[in-house]
Amino acid sequence: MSAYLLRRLLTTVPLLIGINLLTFVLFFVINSPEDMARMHLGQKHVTQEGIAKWTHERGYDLPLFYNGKAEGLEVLTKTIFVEKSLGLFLFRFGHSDAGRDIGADIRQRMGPSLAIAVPSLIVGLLMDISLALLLVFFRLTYLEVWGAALCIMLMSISTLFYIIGGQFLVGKCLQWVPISGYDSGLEAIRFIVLPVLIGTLAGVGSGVRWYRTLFLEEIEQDYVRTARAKGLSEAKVLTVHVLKNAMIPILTGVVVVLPLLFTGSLLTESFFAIPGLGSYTIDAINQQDFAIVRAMVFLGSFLYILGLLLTDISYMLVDPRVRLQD
Amino acid sequence: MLLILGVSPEGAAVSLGKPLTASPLLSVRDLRVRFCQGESEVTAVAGVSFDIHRGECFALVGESGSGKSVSALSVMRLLQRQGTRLEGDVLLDGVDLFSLPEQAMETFRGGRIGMVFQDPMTSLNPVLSIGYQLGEVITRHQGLQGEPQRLEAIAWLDQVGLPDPREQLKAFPHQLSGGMRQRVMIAMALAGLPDLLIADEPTTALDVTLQAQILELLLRLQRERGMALWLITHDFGTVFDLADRIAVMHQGVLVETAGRTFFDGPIHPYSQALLKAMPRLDACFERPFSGSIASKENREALLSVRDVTVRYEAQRGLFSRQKPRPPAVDGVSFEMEPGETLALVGASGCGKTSLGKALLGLVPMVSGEVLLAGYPLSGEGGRTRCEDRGMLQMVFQDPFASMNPRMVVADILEEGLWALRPSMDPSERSDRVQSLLTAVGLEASALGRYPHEFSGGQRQRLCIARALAVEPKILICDEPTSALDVSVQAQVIDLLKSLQQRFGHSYLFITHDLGVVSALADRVAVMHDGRLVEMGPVREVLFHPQSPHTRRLLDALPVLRRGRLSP
Amino acid sequence: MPQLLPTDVFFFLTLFGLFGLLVYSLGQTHLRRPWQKVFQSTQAMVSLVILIPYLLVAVADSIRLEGVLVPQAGEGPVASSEPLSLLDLGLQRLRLSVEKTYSAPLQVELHAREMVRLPDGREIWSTPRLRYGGSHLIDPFKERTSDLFRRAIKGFFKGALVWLMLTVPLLAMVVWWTGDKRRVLLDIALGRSRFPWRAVLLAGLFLAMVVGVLAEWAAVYHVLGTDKVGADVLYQSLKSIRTGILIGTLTTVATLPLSLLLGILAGYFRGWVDDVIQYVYTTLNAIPGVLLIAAAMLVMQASMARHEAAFQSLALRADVRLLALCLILGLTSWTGLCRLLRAETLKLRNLEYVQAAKVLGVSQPRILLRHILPNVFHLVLIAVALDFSSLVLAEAVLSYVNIGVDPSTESWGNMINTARLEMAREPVVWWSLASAFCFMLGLVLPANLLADVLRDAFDPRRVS
Repeated sequence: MSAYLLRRLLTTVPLLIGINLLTFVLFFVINSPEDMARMHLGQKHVTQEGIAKWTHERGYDLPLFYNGKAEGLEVLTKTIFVEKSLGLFLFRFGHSDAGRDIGADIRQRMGPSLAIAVPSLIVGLLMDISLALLLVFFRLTYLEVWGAALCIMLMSISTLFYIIGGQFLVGKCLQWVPISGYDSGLEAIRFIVLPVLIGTLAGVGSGVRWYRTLFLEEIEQDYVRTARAKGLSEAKVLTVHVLKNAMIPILTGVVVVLPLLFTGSLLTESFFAIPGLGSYTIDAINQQDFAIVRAMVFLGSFLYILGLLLTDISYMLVDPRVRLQD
Repeated sequence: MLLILGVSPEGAAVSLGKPLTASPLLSVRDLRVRFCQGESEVTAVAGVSFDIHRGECFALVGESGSGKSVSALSVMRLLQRQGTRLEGDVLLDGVDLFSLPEQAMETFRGGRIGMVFQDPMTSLNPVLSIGYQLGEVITRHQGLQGEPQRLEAIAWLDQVGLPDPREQLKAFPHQLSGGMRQRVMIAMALAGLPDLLIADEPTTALDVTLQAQILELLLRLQRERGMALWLITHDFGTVFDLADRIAVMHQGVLVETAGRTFFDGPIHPYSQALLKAMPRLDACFERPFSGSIASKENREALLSVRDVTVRYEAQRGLFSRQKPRPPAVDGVSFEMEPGETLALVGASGCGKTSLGKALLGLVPMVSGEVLLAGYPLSGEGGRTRCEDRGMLQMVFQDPFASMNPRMVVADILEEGLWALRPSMDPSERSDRVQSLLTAVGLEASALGRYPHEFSGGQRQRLCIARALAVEPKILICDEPTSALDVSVQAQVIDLLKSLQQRFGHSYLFITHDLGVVSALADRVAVMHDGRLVEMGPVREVLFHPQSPHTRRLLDALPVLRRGRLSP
Repeated sequence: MPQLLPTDVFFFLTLFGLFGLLVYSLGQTHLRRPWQKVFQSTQAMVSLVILIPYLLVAVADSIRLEGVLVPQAGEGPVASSEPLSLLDLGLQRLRLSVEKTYSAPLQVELHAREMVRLPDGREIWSTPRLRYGGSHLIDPFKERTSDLFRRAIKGFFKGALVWLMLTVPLLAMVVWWTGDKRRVLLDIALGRSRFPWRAVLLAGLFLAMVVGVLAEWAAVYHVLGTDKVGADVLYQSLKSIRTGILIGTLTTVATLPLSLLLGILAGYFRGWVDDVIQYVYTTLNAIPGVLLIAAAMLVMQASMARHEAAFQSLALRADVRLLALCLILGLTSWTGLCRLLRAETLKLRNLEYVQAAKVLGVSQPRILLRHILPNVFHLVLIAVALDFSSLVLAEAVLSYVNIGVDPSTESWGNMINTARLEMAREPVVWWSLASAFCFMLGLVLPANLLADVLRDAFDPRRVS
């Protein structure tokens, strides 16, 4: 089993290399630093000197792979590929195009991101699963039909409307909590409640539908019939036999996104002015800050791959068929 | 052998005589089950009435789709499908089960009536331990908790003959073998101390050698506990070993209900046909002996298989999750002659199917050599792919999966000709397909239809026609009859025989059913763990087995199907 | 002179392709049962009644004419510089009646107060009358309500009339087709017919009446108000339909070839082919979707900035950006279907009929084409239906992050994006947001409902 894990661990290496190469090609080969400079300095009044200055200040004036001007090993290391791309493997994110230390920014902004993302995930999960179980319990009744229709209705509404509507209703009309902003310490709770609530509501439609399908798939299985033949009540069949089996796909689906919680939610953070990584990314995209976007692409992918690894491990922990394999 | 002792005629008389005086335990009157979906309505059970008495074993026999399982599930009120209509009266000890509220019914399920299902692999919850699943029943119906519950569970596992029951409580279903799982299922069904145990095809999903053991266990427990056993099966062999009374079901109605006199001579023609169609071990004496094999030895072999080994390699891919396995076929050699039928028998997992697929090139051989009419099948100097593909053909086990549901019969039958005889004249091609269709006993109108419009037996006929279209020298049949009902089985076997006489091809017949072997084969090869353990003329192997593995296969055969035990 | 933008070309190609696929699948015997299920479902058919007008608007907005004469205020008609679509021409009045700034739905005055110079020279703090909205009223405070009511009734009947003109021949055809007219009509009236005629006709009537009322009002009012620069919100919402549908369809079609080919190849051949394909899609999957799109869009913008000369007009530039967005969205979303098809193919290749074909010597391309492809078709159909609505929703989010369509392209995302800032205004400017909400819901909800039915009908696992 450890051999298996080791093998899985090894497969992440080519994935990371692939992602690194992809971002490198995307940001430096297809798109030359000169293009970036031109975009930043504006289309019209750009001079060759201006571009040269801009690229030099940010270290984009180096050759891509091979530096003929340098000496010794620097022939290879003093290049964009090594400095800008390989550094990511060591989490050396460098400086943003505006000159800020990206690494420091990320460390500082992780906290608020987690403060929103973790409660959102937990509340959403509990809500989705219990509602889905309820729908399945009342299957073949009108409650299920209308519940399912409501789910489709809820998932047909853009997240943007949930956020704008929630802010308007709770923040502006009722004035229960501040519309947006963030505070450190326990004070933050005031700012967290609304985003978490809205996040849960926005996801409830698709979430319930998805979990309901999982449950319905399990309910078709033979072992459920066995459980009923044993004389167990429908509630017990659902909460013990069906839920326990459905937990495997549910948990593994959740584990994949666990590491990604660090990067926060783009929309929520941006709307609620939470100083997390999500709004950081959005700001970077809006300001066309290539350095930050590149760093976030790598960080996000790294965390996703970490999530894949965790999924494999969680399979082993949750599923006795995998855990107790000899 | 134990089985015969268990159902001595005296025993049957005793258990039959007593309960007839008392009121029946379960009384089913005019049970009707219909499935309605929109406007279409299917009647699965059309007015069935019977009684089951305390302490007896009642067998409900029928072919697939006859409504026997549906009857049992509706008595338990376990039919969950939308649009199911139940009618009739089901009385257990005078209580009308159909008018009980759901909550009261729950105490009957598992408590008064226990049920064992067909496939123990899927019927046990894979993520809960054996101990939990068994304990659930004990808690529910005996009200025991904690340590007493645990002890009771251990006692039950012990009762059903699970070795080391204390340890097995912690085990999960996938850690047990198929037979052990079915024992656990039985323990679970019995732990609620039911008066009636319904066993729905309890041995069908199990390997042949295990079937006898499970039946023996069921019989022992029934006798010990004096409960009623309602056995549902398609196999008269099982019925003969166990049942006190027999009811035959056909298309939703009971055509005959009888005691053990049934086996002396059933009254209804359908039951007679069923009983007669059952392949028996002595069938080989009813057909002409196909001459001495020894005299053929100087003839040239059509197919010679030399030292073939097949191993399923673990996928080496970066993203795969598979593990290496031991060789499926381990150095097998044999020869086949033109026009003969060689049966390849063995318990499941012995490698017989893998060998067949390896001959066809569907799975790669690790080592060994296959010569077809003197030329190697693959590698340099071998025949061209086109030719040897045509000379070896296969008929698969599952008639429902072996034809593309998206193609019409004409396309299915012509596909091989398109691929192997591309230059063939279109009219000649359709002529050949037409005549083959007649040869396998189907109408020409079948050509324009899709596979799903045919029954299992008809589909298997189509598969045979498809294979024969390219004029093979050898037809490999992989359990072609095991998915079919008994009556259809016999027809397909007869068809195979007559086709062989007409076209003169050889059969490599892969099966686990020795009755079928006896009806069809000239020679028998027995496989065990990937090796050939015995080979010889059919009468020799079946009636003078040399290998213990062959003997075990023979012992697993129900008494009724053994026929005369010696020639 | 008709003129085509790149997205128009692809849109029509896509429509033809999808239509062809539909006709092909309707002709397949094995798909007849599921299609029957779809056509007999009230939910699906009512959704279709709502979706078809959307599609018609999108098509009308994709047929462009150049050099059309446009009436100009004060002067005679002038040839327009930009090509205009049929929709633009049909909604000429809405397009041209631009007010000064915000006005609420159906109002006759601007939304906010400002200094107004009266004819006598005095200046007062007031809300001035609109230039176009309700300009036919002499005393709007007395007449507006009754005028609205009168026009609503008129629109109602006009809509019902149009509906009747369509329904009567349709029903006549149905009756003629089936013969027994008394029973057929009774069945339809009681909702007992197999095809849900009654529900479809009622939905059609409802739709016709709503459109009738809106059209009647829109002739003289701004039904959904005007935005910051005074443009009619109803016109914007209608124009946005094309963008939404385009993104929904073009993107899925862009993903199909890739996911079909790679998914089936990976599943069928396994081995190194499978490894490579899995590697590619795991890599692409690893990059968070929005970031990959953002990165690709940034790169695309930069390269468009480099080749600025290549785009003659702003419209072309916006259009190319829309096309690029579809392609980029497709690039990031093919992995899901690909993985699904791979898994299904893995299952199929071990089925006995594929093995039988191999034994019969059928060539591999033929096996893929005849045995694998038709048997995964239902998955493709379900995926296309399910992806459509999520892509329409994604457009709004991407526009918010500024990596969506060009700001000059009308889209619901852009409408929301500009309108959300106005929520803080007092009094609230809510109509842009509300219109975008209603129009989006009107497209996405029926699409989701239809997809739901399609999935139930075509997914074999759900057939009990």
